[in-house]
Amino acid sequence: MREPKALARADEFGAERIRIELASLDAFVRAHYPRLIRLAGLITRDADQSQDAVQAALERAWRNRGAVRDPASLRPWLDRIVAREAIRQTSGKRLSARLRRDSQDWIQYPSTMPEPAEVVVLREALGRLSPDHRAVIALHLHEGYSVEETARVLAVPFDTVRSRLRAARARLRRELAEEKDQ
Amino acid sequence: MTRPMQPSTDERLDRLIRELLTERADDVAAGALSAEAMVERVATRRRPAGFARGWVLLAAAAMLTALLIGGALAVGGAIHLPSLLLPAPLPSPAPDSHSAAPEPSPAPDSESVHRWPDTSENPPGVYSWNGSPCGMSCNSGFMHNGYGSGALEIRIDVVPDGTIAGDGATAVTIAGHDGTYRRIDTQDEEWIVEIEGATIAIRLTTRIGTSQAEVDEAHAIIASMRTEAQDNDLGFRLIFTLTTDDWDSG
Repeated sequence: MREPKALARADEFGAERIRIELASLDAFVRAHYPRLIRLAGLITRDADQSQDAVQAALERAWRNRGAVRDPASLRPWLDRIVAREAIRQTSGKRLSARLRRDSQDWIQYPSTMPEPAEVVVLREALGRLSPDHRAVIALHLHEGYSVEETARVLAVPFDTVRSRLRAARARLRRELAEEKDQ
Repeated sequence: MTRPMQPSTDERLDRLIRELLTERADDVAAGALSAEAMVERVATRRRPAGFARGWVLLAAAAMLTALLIGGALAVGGAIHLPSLLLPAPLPSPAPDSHSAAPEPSPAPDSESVHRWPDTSENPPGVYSWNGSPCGMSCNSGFMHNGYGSGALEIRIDVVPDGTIAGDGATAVTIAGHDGTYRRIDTQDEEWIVEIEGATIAIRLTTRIGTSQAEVDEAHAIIASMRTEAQDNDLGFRLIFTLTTDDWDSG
């Protein structure tokens, strides 16, 4: 029995809709994924957790894409979700053996060239910062957000970001000074 | 290549940190999933446990994506759309943002009522506040739309009698009880209601940049509040509905 023409047209429309949606999703992910995976990696230090955080952010953004009226607000919104998810996954009991192993990779990130002692010390010290502090450092110094913008992205008070930046810099500077004294 | 330097100022220290972060970020990106594989994960909402990188999985992901597209085209839409390919659900219309007298909604099934929202992502649903702390996983009485703009906060507190200023307050019904509403300033609104002898303050804080839709959503949450008798210190709990997954207590 042949299917009614109207039903066949509806099926064609459905298939075409899937194809268009997939193409749109593909473009959307490609546009944001490279930057987001870098941001998540700087916070979590773990490949799997970074990918999970970015996936969660992309899923949410795609699901709610119709609610984003201002294109300029998309980037900080995505960064917020990634940063929050990355911090959540990296804190407390979620610190798995795998993460601890990867933390060592972060700290002992190999270089093909001899490096000054200060660089080595700073790299190790960055790896030991808390996820909250790394998030602030990554957003402000790597993503280029101002202190005020960083506060908005993380949904924390301006003074919190400022104090975390101050504390992170102080710790890094202290570790550098200790290395110099030795 | 990182340059040798001795950071003596914040500016020089920041420059060196930037260089190190860029190196590390590039390293992360080089070892991460390809964009194609991430498209497939997002489309199917698949979260593999202990994901193993490698060509085998990437090939499988590519094949799955190809099958998804090809199969859909072949059967002419006979398969179900992946969940993320359906139209984006938007928050249901909220009452007038300046309405201070919310309409009560039907009582939820007690078994479907969650406790206070966690610090992490919370699905839409019916939640509750009972005035008690909830440990490390949530901050009882505080929530914000941290997965949205992050610019809205709702706080619920038990306050001593007589500590609330009544200036400019208007009579409203809140959580099914007589109460008052007042706009404290451009950012803060407050509802005060006495329930079972306890004075409850519900405060909504709106930061600059919040959209009207978000404010409407917050008002809808407060408008959905109702009470249910409970065997706790208060003798009741407040029940309310979150229509989006933007809210958390982190």
